[in-house]
Amino acid sequence: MYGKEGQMYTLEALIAALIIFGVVTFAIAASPQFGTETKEFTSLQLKKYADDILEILDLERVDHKSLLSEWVESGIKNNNFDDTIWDNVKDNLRRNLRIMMHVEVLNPNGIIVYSYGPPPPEGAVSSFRVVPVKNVYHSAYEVRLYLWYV
Amino acid sequence: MDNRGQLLLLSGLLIAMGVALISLYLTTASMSGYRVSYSPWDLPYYEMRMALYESTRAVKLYGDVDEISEFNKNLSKIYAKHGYFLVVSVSNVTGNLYKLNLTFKTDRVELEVNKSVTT
Repeated sequence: MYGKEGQMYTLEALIAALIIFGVVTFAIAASPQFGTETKEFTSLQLKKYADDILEILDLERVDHKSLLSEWVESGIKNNNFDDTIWDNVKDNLRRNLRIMMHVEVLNPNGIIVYSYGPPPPEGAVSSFRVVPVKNVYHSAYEVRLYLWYV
Repeated sequence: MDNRGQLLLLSGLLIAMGVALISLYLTTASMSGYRVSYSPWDLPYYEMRMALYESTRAVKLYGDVDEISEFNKNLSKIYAKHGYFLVVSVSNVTGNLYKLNLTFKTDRVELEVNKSVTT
């Protein structure tokens, strides 16, 4: 096992190891990847969805109000919030993206004056929007939206 | 053949090391790209944009310095609950022209905006 023969064996062993390594690497690369969405990425995605939903609902109209601010104003004035604004959002999120949601309206002191949907689990991602309202007790209310995957 | 065989082994090893180094470099490059592309998410862009958007809108909606200031006070209170320092002040320059000053701070970013708003 010395000299030429030994070197050939070594070389053979190296080539065999390389072939095995290559096959294993190829197999791993070719197999479907599960669990590539990290927790961080999922949270970022949910935060973006929540930001976008609130931003769209709060788009300023010619009268400087928005669908969201008008909904808050009317809910506070009548002491009764209309749930239908969120029903469509909830259905769409659940059906198309498998996302659940929870909405809260809070006054500037942090007291919840309205709540919609099941309570958010630990790890749910939230976004908030401060809406200016007129002729009610507080001039600003916070709308907080929680999202999480089913 | 003994010398040639040793050279063959040595060159094989060198090539293997080269391949390993290149793959390591490529992996690091792709990871850094990933990190760079996601790092802006750490900044509260949405919250900064919303502060400016809502305080500008409040000037147009209320059109009265006292009411605007009341809103800004509440806005600061709500932002403070989320861990952001926000102070917005408004003064009436002439007629329907207002001057808005906004300061937004977190542990990572500090932003000051001066803006003229016409109602």
